[in-house]
Amino acid sequence: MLSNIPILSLVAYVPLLGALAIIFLVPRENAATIKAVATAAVALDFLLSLPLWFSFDRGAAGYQFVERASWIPSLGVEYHFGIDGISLVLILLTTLMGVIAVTCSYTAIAERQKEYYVLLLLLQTFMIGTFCCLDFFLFYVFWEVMLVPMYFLIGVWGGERRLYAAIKFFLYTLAGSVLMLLGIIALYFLNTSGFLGYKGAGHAATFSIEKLTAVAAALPAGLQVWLFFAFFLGFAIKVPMFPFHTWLPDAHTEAPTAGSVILAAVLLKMGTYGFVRFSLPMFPQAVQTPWVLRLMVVLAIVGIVYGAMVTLVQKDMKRLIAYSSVSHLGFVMLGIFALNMAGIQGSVLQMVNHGVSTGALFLLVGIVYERRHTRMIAEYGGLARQMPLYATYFLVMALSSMGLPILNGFIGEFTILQGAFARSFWWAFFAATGIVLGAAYLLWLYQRVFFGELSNPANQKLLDLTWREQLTLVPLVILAFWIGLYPKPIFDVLRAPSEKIVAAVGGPTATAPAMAGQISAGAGTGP
Amino acid sequence: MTRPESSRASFLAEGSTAGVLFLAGPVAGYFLGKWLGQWLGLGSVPAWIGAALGLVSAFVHLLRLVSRISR
Amino acid sequence: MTFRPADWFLLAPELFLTAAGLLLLGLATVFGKAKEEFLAYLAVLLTAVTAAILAFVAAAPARHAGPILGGMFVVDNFALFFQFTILLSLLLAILASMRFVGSAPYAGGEYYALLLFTGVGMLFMVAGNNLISIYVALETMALASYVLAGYFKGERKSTEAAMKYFILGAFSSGVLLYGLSLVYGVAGQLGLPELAKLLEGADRTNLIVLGILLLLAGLLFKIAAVPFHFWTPDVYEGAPTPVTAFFSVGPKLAAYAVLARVFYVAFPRFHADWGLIVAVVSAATMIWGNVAALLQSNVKRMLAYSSIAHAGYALLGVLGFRTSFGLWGILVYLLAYTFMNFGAFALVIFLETKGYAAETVADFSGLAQRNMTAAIVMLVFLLSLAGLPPTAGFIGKYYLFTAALKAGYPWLVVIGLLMSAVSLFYYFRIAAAMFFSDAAGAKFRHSDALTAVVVICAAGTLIVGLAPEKVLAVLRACVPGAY
Repeated sequence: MLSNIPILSLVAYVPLLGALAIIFLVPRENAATIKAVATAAVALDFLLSLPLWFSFDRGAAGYQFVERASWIPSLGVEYHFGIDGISLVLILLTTLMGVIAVTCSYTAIAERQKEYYVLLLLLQTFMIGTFCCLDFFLFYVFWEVMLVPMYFLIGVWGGERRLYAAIKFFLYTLAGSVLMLLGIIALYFLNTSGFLGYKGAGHAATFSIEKLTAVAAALPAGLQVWLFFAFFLGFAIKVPMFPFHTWLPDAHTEAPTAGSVILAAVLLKMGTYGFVRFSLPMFPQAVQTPWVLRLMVVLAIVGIVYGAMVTLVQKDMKRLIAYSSVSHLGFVMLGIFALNMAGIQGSVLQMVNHGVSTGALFLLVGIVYERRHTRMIAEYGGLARQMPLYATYFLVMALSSMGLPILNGFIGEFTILQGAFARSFWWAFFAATGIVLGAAYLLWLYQRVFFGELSNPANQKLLDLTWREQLTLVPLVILAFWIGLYPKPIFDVLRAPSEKIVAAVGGPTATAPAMAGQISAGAGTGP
Repeated sequence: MTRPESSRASFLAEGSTAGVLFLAGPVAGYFLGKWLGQWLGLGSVPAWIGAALGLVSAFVHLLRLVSRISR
Repeated sequence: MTFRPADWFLLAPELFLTAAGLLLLGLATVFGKAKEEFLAYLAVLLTAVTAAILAFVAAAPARHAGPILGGMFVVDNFALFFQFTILLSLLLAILASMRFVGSAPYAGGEYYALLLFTGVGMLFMVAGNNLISIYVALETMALASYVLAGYFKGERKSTEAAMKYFILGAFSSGVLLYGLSLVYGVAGQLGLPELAKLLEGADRTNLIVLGILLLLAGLLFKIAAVPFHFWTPDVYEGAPTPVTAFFSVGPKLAAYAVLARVFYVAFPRFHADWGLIVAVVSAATMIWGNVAALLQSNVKRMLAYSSIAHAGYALLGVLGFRTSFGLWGILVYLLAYTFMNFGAFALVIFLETKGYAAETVADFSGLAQRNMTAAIVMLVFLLSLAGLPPTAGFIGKYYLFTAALKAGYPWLVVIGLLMSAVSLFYYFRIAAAMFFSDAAGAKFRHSDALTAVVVICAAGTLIVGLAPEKVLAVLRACVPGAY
């Protein structure tokens, strides 16, 4: 039954409809209605995305819920939607984060609320659309358009340096994406008539990702390397990989809370999603070329270690968490380029985990920022006594980010380390130092903010979490524990697409992540 | 425009430089470029580049002249 | 060379437009400053009638007989597309000028007549099949536009702009004519197809190459490509804003059509010579136009440099002309460019400071607070100018880059893409002022005619961007039978 309803388009466009409703039907002054409509839209969207999870066929290797219509026949562009396991978990993460982003903005945003919620909803549509696309032209359209609402979200409702951060974010990301366009056009020609002396495959013109992947995988290794790097820049800037990460701290710090949450939870995943979904299957020979692989891994490890070290010295809480994202996503990149089952499944899981834990940390920082209007660690101290509930939530999410067993971060990190170790001891070694540093900066942050003397008089009157704030955090806490104790459902969903990718890059598909089977067996006897 | 005699002569002189430059510029640029091309072994390509640059400089000179006059 | 009576029918739109211009001129002399608005609407009506006549001509079977009037003109699909776009830009220019001209102390009737005359020149230009007829048409267009540039005779800036434009334009026409005469000297013919045949087996002498390059130089001046672009910022800044809007679109359309036609019909033999030069000019134009625009705070100058940059992108289509993408690219890009440029200029005219259109980026400040619709529409035009999806600008740029890649210039495509990203910076400076700043900018004065312009342009930009298939089908009809 589900295959007859265009469920993916529904999930993608419900936020857009919500945005249009707000624009045309709700007057600017009626803030309560605006928030209500926005919440309804994202909540409905989340509920609509749940059937995707339940109806998804874990065993099938192809794309599901496929929708196909012709858009620009002259160019061979189609409106082609479809998901596999990897897109599925990311879409669910997006819809969940959408609900959380909208609900956490109720009191944080006081002016021009109509535009704010409209932009947030538009951003939802574009992000979900990007994850659903199976046509390169459409993918590029969504990828680029996504930048516009984010630019405005940072630039209008952000912190003091918001203008600088917004334009830096926009230009940086755009510069990367335009080279991606070059890669896409090149693939288009290699599929049809060839260009620049490279013979084309002579097929009909199309932008279909499946067909172009097949064409790309058959290209000679040298050409693959060029194309890999054309796509690389666009994705690497989004991840963000060292040394293209400098836009991230500014964008994250200056964005409003909901903006940071969405940036961290979803937008950063676009880059890693691009690598897993596009770069690896399309350019397997390039990826397996020794120097390319080594370069990627080195950049990933530098991201892990450097990101963690810079995090240690940050004085602004939001900036600290932003840099920790660089470190975490370095982990994800390492998992991807381990090119085996454990690595890839672990990295996708860690994408979700990072969204959950870092999203929650940004939420928490935003909560206290709303009260004190400062993010400087030095301004705080001894908060545990004044806001015990808040301290508890913060502890849980910090431990989740750190990778403590029982919580989600551990599963992801362990699986990635397993994958990395299968390739090289040293990779795993350096990655592990990242974990140690991660524990260091998070625990030190926690100690400085929550323990010690409640010396700052401004902190002595702080109120603990309201039930609305707790409502935004609870789903993330539940998810953190759930994935930490019972990750099997996610691993099941990821198995088929990961096998496909690993087979494409010639890795061993036999080794499954250790966690996929073990924890589930021990779930009943959990700690 | 009423101008004193000497100024009119200088005005005419300036104006005619513009016209002359349109001939002299490309020609000079062409030969300079040809010589450069022979020296660097690039053939006749620099010749045409030189001619184009000569033409451009003639235009720029004209533009500056007009800007100065209309001030 | 036969002169068939039916040929004159094919030129009916041009002849009608000439008569219309003369009528307006006569009426303007009679009425003076009074009844100006009536004359404007009359001009709009006459332009629309011309477009209708053009539609009839498009359907006429006599069109397929080939060049008319002794090989002087050819009304093929390529010319027809450009003629429709030119009439569209005329319409938009008249509408955009109405309030401006109305509030200025100068009589408006002649202004509209001059616009129509420029249009006549452009219509003839794009249909030209012989270097002489192209030259005469070009001069017609140029002369009328010189007067338009200096229309505000009391303003120093306007007369200065007109003088610069006139003198530089005259010299560039001279250069073009000189190149033309050299070609004639070598070939003895000026008809484009005849030239191609004659030059096919000819030796590659310096004389003919010089002639072709001088011809190219003259045309590049009209397009405002680097290094013949330096007149653009001064002239665009000094001329009245609606005139600038028209200049940035109309003459460029015509000049591109001529450039493409002349170089592909008459001189394919020397492709090796002018191909690389056009590529280098395109790269230099894209780089210089975008970089210089970054440094501007005056909106008109910034848009002038941005139009220079767009000239660079369009040259990519000229390079890729042999591929179908190249031809479609030029057509769709110039159509998109018409919409987005007129739209952006219309919004500049909407904002009034001290009786003139907006001058600096600061004049756009706080527009989102005062008039959200205008700000959003301007945002659409800015996105289109920067080449972001889902606007017409993106589709146009996509076609052009594809054409250039296919023609074998990947480095040019990389430059173009990076420069597009850079262009976002200065376009979004306006967006930032509109949306992020609370400062009071210029007053927003309402005008129905300008609203019409903005609506047409916004609709065009979004339709071509979101549902390009219909437009592309029309373009595909233009490709066969173009040559």
